[in-house]
Amino acid sequence: MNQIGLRKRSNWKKLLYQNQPFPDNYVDESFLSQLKRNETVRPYKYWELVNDFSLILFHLTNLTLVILIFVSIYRFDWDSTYIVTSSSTISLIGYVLWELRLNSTNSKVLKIKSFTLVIFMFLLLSPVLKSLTRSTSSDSIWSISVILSIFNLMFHDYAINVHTPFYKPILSTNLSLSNALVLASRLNSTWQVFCFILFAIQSNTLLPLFDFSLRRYSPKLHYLLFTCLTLVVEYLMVHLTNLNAFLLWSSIQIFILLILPGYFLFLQRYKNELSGPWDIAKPIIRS
Amino acid sequence: MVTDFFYPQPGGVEFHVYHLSQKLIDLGHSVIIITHDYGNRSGIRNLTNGLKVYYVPFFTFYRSSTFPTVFSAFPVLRTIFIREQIDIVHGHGSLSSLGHEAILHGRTMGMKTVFTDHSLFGFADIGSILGNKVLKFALSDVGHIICVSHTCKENTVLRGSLNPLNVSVIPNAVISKDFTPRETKLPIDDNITIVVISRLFPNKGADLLTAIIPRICAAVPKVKFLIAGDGPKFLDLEQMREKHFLQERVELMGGVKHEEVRNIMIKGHIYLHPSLTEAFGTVIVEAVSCGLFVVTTKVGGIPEVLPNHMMSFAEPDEDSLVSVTLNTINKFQNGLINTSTFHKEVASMYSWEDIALRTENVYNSLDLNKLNQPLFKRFQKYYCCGLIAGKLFVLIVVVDIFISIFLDYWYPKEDIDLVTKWPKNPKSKKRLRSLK
Repeated sequence: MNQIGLRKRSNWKKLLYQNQPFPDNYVDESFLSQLKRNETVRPYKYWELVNDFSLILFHLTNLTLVILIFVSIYRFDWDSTYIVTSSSTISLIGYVLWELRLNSTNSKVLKIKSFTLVIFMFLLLSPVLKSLTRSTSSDSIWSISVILSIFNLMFHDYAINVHTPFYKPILSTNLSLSNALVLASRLNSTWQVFCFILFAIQSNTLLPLFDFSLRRYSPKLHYLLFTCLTLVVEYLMVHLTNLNAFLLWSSIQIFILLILPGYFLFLQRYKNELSGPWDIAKPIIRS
Repeated sequence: MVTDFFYPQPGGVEFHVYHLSQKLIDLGHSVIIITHDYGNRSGIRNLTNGLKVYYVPFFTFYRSSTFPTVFSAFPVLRTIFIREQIDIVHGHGSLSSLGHEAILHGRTMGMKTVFTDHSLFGFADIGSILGNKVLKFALSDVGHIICVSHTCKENTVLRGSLNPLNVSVIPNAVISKDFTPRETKLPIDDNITIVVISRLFPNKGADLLTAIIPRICAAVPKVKFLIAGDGPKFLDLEQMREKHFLQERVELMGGVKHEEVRNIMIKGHIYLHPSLTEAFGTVIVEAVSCGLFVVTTKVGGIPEVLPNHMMSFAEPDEDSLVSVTLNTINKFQNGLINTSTFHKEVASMYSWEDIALRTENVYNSLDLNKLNQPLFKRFQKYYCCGLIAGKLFVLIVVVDIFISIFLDYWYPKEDIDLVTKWPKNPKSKKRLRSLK
């Protein structure tokens, strides 16, 4: 059976029920002729990718905002009441806009009710939260916060396809809330804890939902929101941190927005997707 | 023969291993089977013709394959190999980690190894990617590989990055005297019965089946369905039956034993096979052997298995499957299909004797001088498996060699008793040789 290899013989058939005059390890010319490569791959365009990657930057900016606000309260003793009042005002404006223009299906009463309930729950719980990590050192808290943020960035549902009917970034919502709770437990007064958590919920939970609807409604407004958010974060960066941090932040922005899409495009040339008759067929069921 | 899948569990691999072993014994070889324990079935059992089965207690974790521990089975396998004076290790099934382990350790002990692949895998999902990496590792140093169909061969060659000349295609077979058609032919009037025997899993096309039955029942008023098999989609079928009031016409039998398959099949005219993936599809051959006409989806290795006058193909699409089935029913009612010769034809196509002879051919082709190359060459083969995986694989092999040396020191070969072999039956050997 070893002597015959890739010799050309035309009458071999890809059949099992016939006893063919070929050895069992015969390799015909038609071997792997049904193999298809990179069937479902579609070419990407650089600027489309930049657009998609900007969503990652948006989420990162959003996470950074909460951390910067924490720094401002914790280290610089900014007035937490002032912060939460202004953010709540913006949220209210956003909510009204959302109800008027973006979404009109769900019941308003239920939403307001549940939101009020959450606020009061946190108000009640804030003394507990304040003493939650009393016995833990601050360094551990910072590292936990960083880990949570990285996981958040990894597992967030970026919803690149705007037309998905259900947008529920459950995991990242939970992670950002945990991050807020962990950070809040370092603050000095109960009121600060409450204000910070409220701000974090508005920024990390409500803003992505709002932005999702906004992207569906008008991409231009999304970019406006994105620019405003970036400006706020830049402002806080300049005021709260030193030049090095600011430079690092700017280079991260450029890296995510411009370099990563290029790298992604570069990696596409190594794409090797194999498909053939062995793949599980996708049944077409009409009813 | 080493595999995770064996009797009392039913299935394609299980029967392949059993029948192949029986025929190899008839050819004068001594065959033992090593598998993991099934419930209280553990230890050594002797089956027909002195086929010895070692049910070794291992922890099973997914669909009755053992936990991949890489090294833990080495001591017990080594003892069995030496006790039984094994020359060739033959692993079955790409999900059987016991089979892979046996091949790895067999190579470390310098034995001939063969692997048979029974199934098809894709390349896209995470499970397949991991499985393919394991397969690549296990098959880097194997002597020869057997696949059950040409499609399966293409798939395995791609998955394991193998030399196609090192891969043989040897199909499954059926025992044709166990699948005889009924003596008196079923009357062909309006009452056409369609048989389906399949485990009701999504990849066996259970969803397609659920979708087409009401449509076919609505189109042909007197057609009946007989469905045997159990699985997670059984409930869906029951619900469909109730929703469309088809209790009289769709019979759901649940799980059946393999011995009963023939008696169910001969109640029908048409065998319907809606599977979405299939390396070989033994059940189709069994059905045709029982004198049924087959309607099947055109997937995997199915088109290679039987000639066109025995089955008709549909796409894995509800509409296509319905129209092909209706067409076949129509042909039946007009007497255009004659299945009376099917049994004899299948008997001449597939027999375990033939399979065993071809497998023996593979065994004979293995050359220990070629297989046992210097250690460095062996490392090279593993190292080329991947950037990180290659290094890991070499590390595993090195550890394996150390374990082997350790075992040789603590449990020397001389201290292991050799078994007395089962007396050979000289008649059967002669008979088979004459067939050759």
